[in-house]
This record gives sequence, C-alpha cells and structure tokens, in this order.
Amino acid sequence: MPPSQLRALKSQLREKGITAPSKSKKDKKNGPSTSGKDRATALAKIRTEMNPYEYRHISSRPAKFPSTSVKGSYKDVLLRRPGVSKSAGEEVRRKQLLPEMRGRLKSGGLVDRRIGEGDGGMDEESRAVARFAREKSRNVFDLEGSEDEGGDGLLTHGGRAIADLEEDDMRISGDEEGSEDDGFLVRKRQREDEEDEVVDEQPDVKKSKKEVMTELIAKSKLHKYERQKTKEDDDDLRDKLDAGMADLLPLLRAQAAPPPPPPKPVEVPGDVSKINPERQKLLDGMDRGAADREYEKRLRELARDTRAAPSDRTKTAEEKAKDAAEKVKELAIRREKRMRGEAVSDDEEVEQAKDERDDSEEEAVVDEYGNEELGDDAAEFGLGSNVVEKVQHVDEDDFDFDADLVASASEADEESASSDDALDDAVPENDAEEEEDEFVSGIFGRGANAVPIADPNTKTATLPPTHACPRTHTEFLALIKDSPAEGLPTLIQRLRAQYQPSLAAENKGKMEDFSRVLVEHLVWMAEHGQEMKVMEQVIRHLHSLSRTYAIPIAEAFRSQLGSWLERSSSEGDGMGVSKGDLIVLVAIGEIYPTSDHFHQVVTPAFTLVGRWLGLNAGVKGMGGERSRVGAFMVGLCVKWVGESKRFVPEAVRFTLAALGNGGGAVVGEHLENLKGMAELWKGKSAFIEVFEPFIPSLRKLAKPAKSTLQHLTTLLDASRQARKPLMLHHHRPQPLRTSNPKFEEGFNPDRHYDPDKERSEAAKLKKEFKREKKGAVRELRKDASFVAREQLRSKRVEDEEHKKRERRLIAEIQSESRG
Amino acid sequence: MPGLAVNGAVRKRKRDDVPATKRKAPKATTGESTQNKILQLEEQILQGREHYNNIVELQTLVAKFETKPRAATLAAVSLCRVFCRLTAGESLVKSNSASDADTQIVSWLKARLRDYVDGLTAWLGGEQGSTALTLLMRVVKAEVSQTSKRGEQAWKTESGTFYKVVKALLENEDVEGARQEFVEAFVEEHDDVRFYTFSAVKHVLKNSTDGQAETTGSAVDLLSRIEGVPESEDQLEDWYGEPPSPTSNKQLLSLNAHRKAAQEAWLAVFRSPLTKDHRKRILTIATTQILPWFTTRLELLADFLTDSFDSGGSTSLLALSSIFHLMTHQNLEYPEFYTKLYSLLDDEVLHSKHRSRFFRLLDTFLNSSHLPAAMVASFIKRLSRLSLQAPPGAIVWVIPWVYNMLKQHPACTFMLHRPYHPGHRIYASENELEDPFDMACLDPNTSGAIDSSLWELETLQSHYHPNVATLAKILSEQFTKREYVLEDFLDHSYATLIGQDLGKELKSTRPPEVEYVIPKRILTAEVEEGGDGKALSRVGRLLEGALGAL
Repeated sequence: MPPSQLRALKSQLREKGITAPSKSKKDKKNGPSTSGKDRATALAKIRTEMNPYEYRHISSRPAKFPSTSVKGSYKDVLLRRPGVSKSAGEEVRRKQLLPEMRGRLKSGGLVDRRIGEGDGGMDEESRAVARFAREKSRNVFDLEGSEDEGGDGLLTHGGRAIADLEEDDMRISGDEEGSEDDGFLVRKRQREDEEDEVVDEQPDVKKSKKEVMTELIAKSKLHKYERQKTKEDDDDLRDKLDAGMADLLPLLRAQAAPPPPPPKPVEVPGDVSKINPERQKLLDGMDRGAADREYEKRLRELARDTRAAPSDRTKTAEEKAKDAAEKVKELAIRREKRMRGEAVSDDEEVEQAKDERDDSEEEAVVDEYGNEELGDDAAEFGLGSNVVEKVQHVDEDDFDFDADLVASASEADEESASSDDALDDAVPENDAEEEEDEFVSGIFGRGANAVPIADPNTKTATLPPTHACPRTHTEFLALIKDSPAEGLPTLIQRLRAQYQPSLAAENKGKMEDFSRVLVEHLVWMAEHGQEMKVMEQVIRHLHSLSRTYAIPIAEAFRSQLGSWLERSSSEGDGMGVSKGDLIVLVAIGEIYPTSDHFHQVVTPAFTLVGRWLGLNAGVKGMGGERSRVGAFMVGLCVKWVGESKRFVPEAVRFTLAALGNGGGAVVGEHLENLKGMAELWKGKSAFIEVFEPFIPSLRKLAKPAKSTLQHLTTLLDASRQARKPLMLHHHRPQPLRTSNPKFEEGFNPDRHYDPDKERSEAAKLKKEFKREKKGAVRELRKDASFVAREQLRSKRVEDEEHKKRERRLIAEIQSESRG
Repeated sequence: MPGLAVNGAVRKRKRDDVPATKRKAPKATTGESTQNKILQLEEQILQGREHYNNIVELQTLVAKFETKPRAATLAAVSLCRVFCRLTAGESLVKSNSASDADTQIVSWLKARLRDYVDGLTAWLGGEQGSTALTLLMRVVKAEVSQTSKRGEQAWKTESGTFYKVVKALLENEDVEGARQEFVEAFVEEHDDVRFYTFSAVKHVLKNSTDGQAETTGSAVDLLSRIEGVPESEDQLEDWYGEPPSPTSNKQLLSLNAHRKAAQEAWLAVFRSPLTKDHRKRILTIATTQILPWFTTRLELLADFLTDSFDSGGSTSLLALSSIFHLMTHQNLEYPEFYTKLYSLLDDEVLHSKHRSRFFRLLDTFLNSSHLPAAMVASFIKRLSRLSLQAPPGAIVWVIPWVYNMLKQHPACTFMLHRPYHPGHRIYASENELEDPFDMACLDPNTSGAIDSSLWELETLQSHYHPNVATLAKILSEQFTKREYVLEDFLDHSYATLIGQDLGKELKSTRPPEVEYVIPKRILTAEVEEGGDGKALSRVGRLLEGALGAL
C-alpha cells in the first residue's frame, strides 16, 4: 500500500530540507544555509510533483529509438502541463485582450505610454533601468541649448520643439485609436518594437493632393539632376582616358613611346571639385590606415609594371634561317595536329567548348537502355541539324605582316625563281614575310633584287599610275578592260601596295572588297579562257591576301561553292559543273591546308567534288568530256589527300567506271590517278577490296595499262602478305561504376535525409508554415472563446444590475402606490 | 473526309456562279443575245415536248466548242439542266402503256442524251474538264436517283452515263486532272460511287481486249488515287444516289461486297499487261492502299507480290515491304526470303534513290535476334564492302547499323576483333592471309563472312569527310552505347552535308586556316632550258583538259 498523500508530502519536505529538524549550531556554521530563493524553488517543485494531474504526455511514442528522444529530463520534455499553460494564457489575455476589447467602441481615453508599462515581461527594476537609459540618451530638456542646434532654451517634447508638435499632439490619441485595432496577435508580435516605435513615430499628416504632386515633381527633378551629374562625371572620366590613349598606343605596339605632352598647369587649388577624387576621399576622412595600405598597393603595382624592353637585336643570316626553320617545323606540327582533328590552340575556347559539351551531356536524359532519349544520335557526329563543331582551329596571327611589310622590303630576295621545289621543301628558304614582299615590292623601288613577278617586258606603262580601289567586279572589269591580260598581276601588285591597310584606316575595308573581287575575277577568267599563267598569279595573290583577309576570301570561295551546289541541284542533265568551279577548286586546294580534319572551305569543296564524282560515275556510257573532267577531279582528290592519306570512295568508283568504259582519250591520266591512289592507300587494310576490282578492266585495256597493272599486282601481293585480321578492341575492360553505400550513423526515422538541399529546405519551410498557421488558428480560437466568455460575463452582470434596478423601481412604485 | 466535302461544295458553288455572273455582265451584245437565246431554248424545252427539237439546236451549239467555247459551255449547262429534269420527270422511261409515238420520243431522247454525254466526255481532257465532269456527274446523279431498281440499273449498265464517264476517264490519256477530281470529289466522298467505280473499272479492263497499256495505266492511276478504305460497315454511309435500304440494293451495305468489288478491279489490273513503272507505282501503295482490300483473300495479292519480288532490281526493292508485311502479319510462307534479300545488295542499292526506304526495311528484316549469326555477318560484310564505293549518305547509315547488329549478335564481333587462335579459319593458312569471305557467293549462310574481318569499315575511318570519319571510329571504340537510333542517320545526302558546312557562318574569332607556304608554281611547270615557257604542271594539264571539255 502506497503511503498516503500527507505522508508523501512530509517525506518530500524533509528530503528537501525545508522542514528539517533544527540543525546544531556547528552545522549551521559549516554548511551554507539554504536561502529563501532556494526554498521557494524547492517548494514549487514539490508542489508540481505532488500534483500528478497537471501533466500530460507529449506523444505516445515508445522510447524505441533512443536517438529520437530529445536530451533532457523526462519530465521536462516528455510531459507538459496543460493546466498551467492554459491559466497563463488566460492571464495574458485578461491583461491584454480585455482592455482592448473594452476600449473597442470607445474613442479617446488615456494611454499609458510609459516605458515597460503593461509589459508583463519586465519587472519593476528593469523598467526603471530602461526609463533611466532613455532619459539619459534623449536629453529631453536641452536647457543649455547648444549653438549649432539653433535653439536657446526652447521647450521640447519628445526631442522636438513644442511649437512643431502642437497640432500633432492633438491628434495622437486619434491615431493611436487606429492602431488599436491591430488586434492582439499583431500587437504581440510588435511588443518588442514598441519601445522604438514611441521614438520613431512620426505624426502622419494627411497631405493634400497638391502637396503630393509638388513633392513628386521635386523628387523627379532631383533624380534628373543626379542622372545628369553622373553622366557628366562619366564624360569627364572618358575624356581623361582618351587623353591617355596616345601614351598607351606605342606601348601596345611594343615600341618606344613618344615623350608625353607636358602636363597641364595645375588648376586653382581652391577649387575643390578639381582635386583628385582619391585625395578628396582622404581629406573627407578616409581611414588613415586604409589610405596607407592603398598607397603600398599602388607602389607595388608600379614596381611590377613592365618596363620598356630592349628591341630584338639584329640577327645573323644563320640565326634567321634557324628561326625560320623552327617556325616551319612548328607549323608542320600544328598541321599534323589539325589533320588528326585535335584541338590546336590552347586558349580558353577549347575549354569553353568542352564545358559546353559537358553541359549538354549532362542535360541529355538517359533512358533505361542507357541511350540518350532526347538527343539526336546523328547529331553527335555532326550529322544533325544544329551542331557545334567540335574541331578546334587555331587563330594564327603569324601571318599578320601588314605592319612591317614595307619596312622589310629591303631584304634581298635570294631565292631564284626556279626553285619549284619550294612546295615540297619542308624548309623553304624564304620567310613568309619575304614572300609577301614579292607581291607588293617593286612598286616602291627599294631593294635592287626585288623582282616583280610580272614579266618586265609587259607594258606596265599603259596602266594608269593610280587607280581607285575597285570594290565590285564590274568596277574591276572596267579598270582592266584596256590593259593586256599579262599586266594583271602588276596591276594587282600596285593596288595592293597603294591600299595597304597601314597607309589609311579605310584601306582595310577596301582591300577586303578587293579580295572578294579577285575571287570573282578568277572565276571570270576561267570562264573566259584566260591564260593559265595569269590565273596562277591571281591565285598566288589571293593566297597572300588570305593571310590578312582570311574571312572575306573564305566567304567568297564558300559562296562560289554554294552557287555551284545550287546550280548543279537545279540543273537536270549536263555536267553540273562550270569552268569557274574548276578554277575555284584549284585555288582552294592551293590556298588552304587540305590535310585538316575539318576546314571551313576545304571540307565543303571536297564534298562537292565527291558529289560530282559520285553522281557522274553512275552515268551510262561516260562521254569523253565527263571522263576528262572526272580525271581532273580525281587528280585533285589525290593531290588533296596526299598528306592525310584520306580515303575517297567516289574517286575509286569514278576511276573504276572510267577505266571500265575504256578510259576514253584520257586513259593515261586515269591510270596515273589510279597509280597515285594505290600509292596513297597502300597502307589501308581494305586495299585489296578497293583495288582488286580494277584488275579485270586493266587486263582488258592491255597495253597502255601494263605498267599500272604490274604495279598494282605488286602492291596487292604485298598487302595480302601484310594483312592481319582486325583487332580493334584491345580495350582495357571497363570497370563497373562503384558507389559507396550511404550509411547514416544514428539514423533517425523522423529526420528527412533528403540529398536535395533545396527540396529539404522547402519542406522545412512548409512544415514551419503549417505549424505557425495551426498555432495562429488555435490562438485566435482561444481569443474568440475568451471574448465570448467575457461578453457573457459582462452581460450577466448587466442583467443582474438591470434586474436589481427594476426590482428596486417596482418596489418603489409599489410603495408609492401603497402610500 | 470533311475537308474534301467542303472543297467540293465550294467548287460546285463556284461553277454555279460562273454562268450567273456572265449573264449579268455580258461582254458583247452578241454574247448576250446567244445567252438569252440559250435560256429561251431551255425554257421552251421544259414547257413541252413540242420544243424538244431545241435540244438538237443546243447540241449544235455544244458541238461548236472549238469556235465558241463560252456559248458551248452555256449550252452544255442548260442541256444538263434539261436532261436532269427530264430524267427526274421520267420522260426517259419507256412505260408499257405508252403509245408508239411516246416510245419513239423516249428512244430519241435517249439517243440525244447519249450524244450529249459523248460530247461532254470529249471535253474531260481540256480546260473545261472540270465543268464537264461536274455536268456529267449531275446527269449521273439524276439517273441514279430514280426509284431503286432503275437507279441501280443506271449505275451498272454499260449504256449508263456513269459507266461512260469511267470509261472515258480510263481510255483517254490526257484526263489526269479530271481523274484526280473525280476521285477526290466523288469516289472518296461517296461509298456507292466508289463501289460502282470498281466494278466499272473491272468491266472496262475486261472489255478492252486489245490490252492497251494506256488504259491499264489510267486504271492504275485512278485506283491508286483511292485512299479511303472502309474498315467497318458503319463507315458506309455517304451515298450519291438513293441511299440503299436492307430491302433493295443491300450489297452496297456489305463491307465484303465492297471488298470484293475492289479486289476484282485490282485483279483485272494485275491481269492486264503492266509496264515496269505501273508495277512500281502499284508496289509503292501496296501496303497502305491495296492490302486493306485484300484482307480476306490474301493469296490473290501474294501471287502478284511474289512475281514482282522475283523480277529483281528496284521492283524487288519495292515489293519487299508488302511481302514482309504479309509474312509477319498474315503468315505468308516465303521460302528463301533472306537469300533473295541478300541478292538485292548489289552495286546500285547504295546509290539508288530508294536507299533510305530500303535501309529502313532492311533494318526491320534483320532486327530479329533469332537470325543465324552467319547470315547476319554476311549482310554486314557485304554492306561494308559496298560502302567502299558508296556516297557518305549511305555510309553514315551503314556504320551505326553495323554497330547495332554487332551489339545484337555478339558472335559477329569477331569481325572486328579476332585475336590469334588456331581454331579460327582465317588463321588456317600459314603465311598469306586468305579472306574466307566470298563476295560472289549468293547464299548468306555459306558466304564465310563470319570468319572474315571488316577491314572495309576500318578503312572508312579515314574517310575524307570529317563527320563520316568520326562516325566510323565508333567501331573501334568500346561498345558502351546500347544502340543507335538509325532513323537519325537516314536521309543524309551530299546536299545536306554540304549545306550543313556552308550554312555555318564563319566566325571572326576563328578565321579559316591558310596554307603557310605560297607555292611558286601551281598550274605551270618549271621552265626548262630552251622550252617555250608554256609547260604545265599535272594539275594544270588536267585543268586544261577539263576546261576544254566543258
């Protein structure tokens, strides 16, 4: 049988030492006596513990997962006291809501605005402290009246002059009334700020419309003024920068700068606006330390600035040759890289492109088969509709020689014109710069050996000494119509010298147009059967111009290719190719590196050649003309892939068809082409498959093809000997993707382990919002019930009074009537 | 088809309007007078038989089409109205109780109608073809809208206007426009017109004993234009003449009867002499437009298809899809299908204009993983061999297809990777490697391709076009992708490849590379001692030859 309540209470009291038997004096001296405060808390604790009905469990969750339980004592956390909290809530309502409710229909009245009054959270002491602090800080009665404030002994209220205040003061109560309606909850929230509000509260005067408008206008004027000011400032800054440009330009050219113009006399020092802004800032009270630091920084920057470097010393002939050789070697390496389709330039572009690719890969959705669901498979290989070309190309400015073209013209052209081997030489004796001379020199008459390409016998004298730069082909035709065709290279030379971009700013545009005109003229020349020699020179000029005007010339070539494609698609029968197209192909093959994996001009040109060959190979009974053109095209293909050894199926097909037809008049050319192809592709694994079909037709041709046949059979035998079955897949086995299992220590089923941070944040917010909403609803409900209760009570009281009065009156009347 | 119906209505209204506007705003007084005269004549005819001779007068006007087309058209329109009213008024029907004179009048009127129809059918090919067709069909409508028995007769009989129209459409060569309009405005719109068109076509083909190729061609043209195939009897609901009821003309309500009519018409076409082009045309539409009619009697169609498939060339190519459809859906037995398919892979197939169609089918046929690996290997090897001379548009399909095939038939991957093992046939000979694959062998099961290697595709890795070369490299990389979507690789051609390259703007940040050495000579050769200075290099020589050829 448990001990009775009384007994339990007694034992508790004894335990806490509240009703302990009186201690001996010795004890009292040694041990500290329990103070009154301790005693009170101990009593409160006993009181709560003795009342089991005050508690309620927070939840019914069993303590199965120790991690879920919050640290702390059992009773503190898992139990709560609805009774206590309810009565506390009631108390707060009575204090705050009840006055509000009572004053609801009333206007006016007294409002206690003393600090901390009506705030249950503050005790008497803290209220006093707060009031004192306010008093101190505000200095309400400025009886001394400092000079700058302008007031000598004016009475103030709330830190303002009474005179300013008067009207507002009348209204304060009314305004307060408005805010009274804010309701309990809002007020509860605002309670903390209330103190400040008292200070900040500006009397809110209702402005007339006119006032509002004038204010608005003033404001906009101010903004406008500010804008103008900033603009002027910007202009000033820009002017200053522009003034410095002259100093910068020579630096950019890595040449000695001309002496800077003498600095302008310093402005009148009194003018504040002219002071260096930095200094102004300093004067305005910038931190001394910060200024020092900035000074140090500037100093370091100055120290690190590049100084004027000594110009390159004059090199000996051997050194020059060595440099040239190195340059060519480097260029050859780059060419090989491009041939393999690797990125050559190491600037950010590559990385950027790579990033883009990565991004697009990430974006692509992968379906259950591991295929990208949305991506076009073909697009990966550049066969889709919108493809980012993966192949990178250098932007070489090695060929940008225009700056010192004229200066170096004095260099002797040592190379004799007979060195035809320059093409095949890995190291041409000439530097590109010198080659360039060839095209523009001779006009200036520097260097005795600077031989112009054109035959000196041609009558250059017939050409007018100066010409307007032709911007269109018609202009150009008009210009040359009187001069002999042989004089054309000289004319081009002159024009190029006359309109060098270094001579005038607009020359660049002129030369760009002229380059385009030259491409058009090349086509025109081919159509009009002009001499090969002249066309060759024009191609060479275009080549040299391409170094500077790569884009306009490439565009011109590309548009020629485009028109060829259009013409041949619309044209039903016929050859589908014109003389101009052929010369354009020759020019493209010479000017651009045909070994590149991808080239903006060569690739479409090559595809067009392939297209022509493919479409014309199938034509029944190939005529002599077709065979001739085809021989030229195949010859071009062989030349173009000479370095890269690429495979051209259409060339094989066409040659096979042509030889199968007997070859026509140009059988020798076809055989030579075949030989060239066989030489080129003898290393290919499918050599046998490609060239075996030729054997029967070669046998049929008999005599003229004898040597070719022999050559081919030798190569075929060698290829058979060398061939091995394919072994393309010596790949390292691909490791399976591993991923560490995610293991959560002290896993809590209540917590959400969402890896998506954003989502978990959102969930948290949502939950908080829900909780807050619930709490607010609960509060409002309690408020409502409180209000109802209060109303009922006041009504009862009223009824009671009414009844009493009534009874009294009745009694009075009765007594009167009786009396 | 609602769209067509609207079109028809619009056209009809327009046609009605034409004479009206002309009436209002005549260009010449003579025109006006003729017009008035025609109208007067027409009104008189309708007043009574004593004016029937006006018909002859109008017909003479119609006959003067060459000289006075406007008047002729007007006369034709009014005659059409006349005949329609007469037909509706049963003036063209011999009744048993009629007197001798009446009978004579009726037969005379019939003869006039015949003349009129014959005259109009001659117009079908000309500018007025559309008007003529409309007028004729209006007469047909009047005829077939008579009471059920007579209406049905009017559809069928060879003396009926409808039969004559169909006959004219088939026998005249230059009436393609009218045929198209006939199909669009009438056959597709009305189920009974379609039904009787089929039977009329059958009869016309049967009657043209001399077997004119033109008639057959027109029949193919007409029939291939008919696209709407009813799938259930509920869809038979648009009628041009009297709507059939279960008591009368009930075959019009039966789907099977419709099918039978169509089948017989097509069979008549198959029996008549077909040129290659006709055959191709039929094969192109076979699966979509002919097969649905033959759902009940497939064997009839199968004969035609197998004949076409066996004839070789592009005809076989076209017959493929229908045959395969029959094999997979209708359980048709076709022995040696794959051998036949294998034989279709010849020099031309990768260059033919039906290339993508063929590729699509080929992929479907070989998609089964139950096919023997040796056979699949033969297809792979043969296509690889062919792509050594193929255009890039074909190669870019072949490579991903080979990838997919290898992925599906792992036994074939030895063709790409064959480490030494004495068991492999290719390593059998001691010194010189002998390719076990025989291109000439016609049987895909014994060609030995599975013991060979795909050197051809390795060679294509150095194709001149960068995209093709890059694509070919997938075969020597790890096969990590499950499969390529082949549809993306179809329909590439030279034009698209070039267009893609030329379509991209040149970027100023990346100007095109320029060769760094400017050659001294391009077209001319080095001047020899004592030469005339006109020597040309090889390129120059070839260019000169080519320029001379153009």
